[in-house]
Amino acid sequence: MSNQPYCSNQKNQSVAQLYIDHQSWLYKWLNNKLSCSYQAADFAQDTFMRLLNFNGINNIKEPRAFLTTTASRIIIDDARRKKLEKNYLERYYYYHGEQACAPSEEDLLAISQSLTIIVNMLDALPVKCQQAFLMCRFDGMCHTDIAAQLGVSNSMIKKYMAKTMLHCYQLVHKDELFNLLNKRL
Amino acid sequence: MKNQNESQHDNVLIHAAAQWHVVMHSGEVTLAESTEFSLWYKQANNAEAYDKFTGIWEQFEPVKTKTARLTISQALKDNKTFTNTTKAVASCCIFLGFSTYLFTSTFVGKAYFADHYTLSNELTTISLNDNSQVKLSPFSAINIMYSENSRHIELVAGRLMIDVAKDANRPLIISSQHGTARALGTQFSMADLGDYSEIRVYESKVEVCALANKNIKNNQPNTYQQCQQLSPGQTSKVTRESVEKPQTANNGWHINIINQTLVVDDQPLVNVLDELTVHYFGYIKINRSTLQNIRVSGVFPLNDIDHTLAVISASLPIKVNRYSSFFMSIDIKK
Repeated sequence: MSNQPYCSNQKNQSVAQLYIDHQSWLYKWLNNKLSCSYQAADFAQDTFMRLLNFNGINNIKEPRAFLTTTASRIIIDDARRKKLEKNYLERYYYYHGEQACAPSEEDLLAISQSLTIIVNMLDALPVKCQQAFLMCRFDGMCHTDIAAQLGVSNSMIKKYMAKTMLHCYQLVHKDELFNLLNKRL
Repeated sequence: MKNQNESQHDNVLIHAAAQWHVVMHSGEVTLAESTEFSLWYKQANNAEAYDKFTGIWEQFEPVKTKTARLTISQALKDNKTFTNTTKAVASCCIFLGFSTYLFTSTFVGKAYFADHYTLSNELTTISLNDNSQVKLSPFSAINIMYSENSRHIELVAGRLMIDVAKDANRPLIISSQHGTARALGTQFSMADLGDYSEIRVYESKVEVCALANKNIKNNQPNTYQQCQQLSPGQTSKVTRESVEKPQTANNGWHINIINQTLVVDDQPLVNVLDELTVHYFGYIKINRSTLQNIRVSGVFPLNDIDHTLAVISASLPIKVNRYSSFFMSIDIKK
């Protein structure tokens, strides 16, 4: 009947318009860059998927520049994810033995995606904050033990943890804050 | 205004929630803390903010395995190594830049980039293409910038003596870091002594201007002269801001640039030592307060400072301490 996708709200409509206008161009650009049509199609799709969660969509001045930047980021993230996945598998076999059942493709993808998100979240923090957080959250250590291991005071550990939590909060709820500000302004 | 207050309030709330979350997950919550927390949690909006942190905390639960944890710390370490490499490269660049700056501020550095320089103890005579003759003291450097309508010599360091060839269309200007000396046809010397430059005129007239003269506007009150005319036998000191009134050259003080000797008659020792410093490749620390009353007469070679200092210290109650070939200090003998 029509090739207009079904749109639930105005934001999705903008993404749809972008898709109609630029999808084939983006696909060509990616194909040219990666010289692999399957990958190009996947990354093009991921780029528009990511736009669905982007709030500033109506303010985009140069759509094609914006799309290529987003696509480039996705490619970088994907490379990082693959590297993480490889490292994860190496360690997995190291701990469970070569004969262990491999995690399913689905599980592996889910894990490597989560790990990428976590690494990206913690990346900008100082080393001490990262260490304290990993020890507390993953190793289940109490603050006193962490303080002893890192050679700082107990209250410093509290500071590191609070800094990490606030940093993660800002990353997770950035869009929310953006919305809040937009509403008030 | 209201918006600002509201967002500020949100901010305070978020910080408080983060602090509480940290305390409650410290692995060692006291009874007092948990009682206080449950009171805080019941207050308006607090629960909502706190639960957001719980949500973040829970996101880590599915990957809470040893393998995942090691993979994460490995990736974080790799990223840090990358940024550390970037930082190392950046600090190398800064270090190189800084050393270049330090190098160019030393005499060798200045001389390295200059057109003519003298490093050894001998006197150098340079003939310029307008038939002017420049004699350079040891450890001096000049740049020569001649064009069709100007003759400009930059004294980068040290001392020069010049016999200027007449050229009515092109006045000759010698500049140091402090000021300029302008002459039509004359014989004079100029020395960069660090804090000021000294000009001594032997023939004809020279106009000496402080560097700042160019920048000072006419409507400003003229509290001091920025330019002075010097006649033969006169000397003057110029700093960046002003020119000293011309004085009759001290008869007890004469630098023979050709023989490289300093001839002094009853002059303060400190002044003699200052002059020696100019010709010494290195740093001499002079204890002025203890040496200020000593006066000296004699002929001192300027091309062998070590020998000259040995001669002075043999006849006067002073002590020369050598710390290395480039650093010495001079003090009164106790």
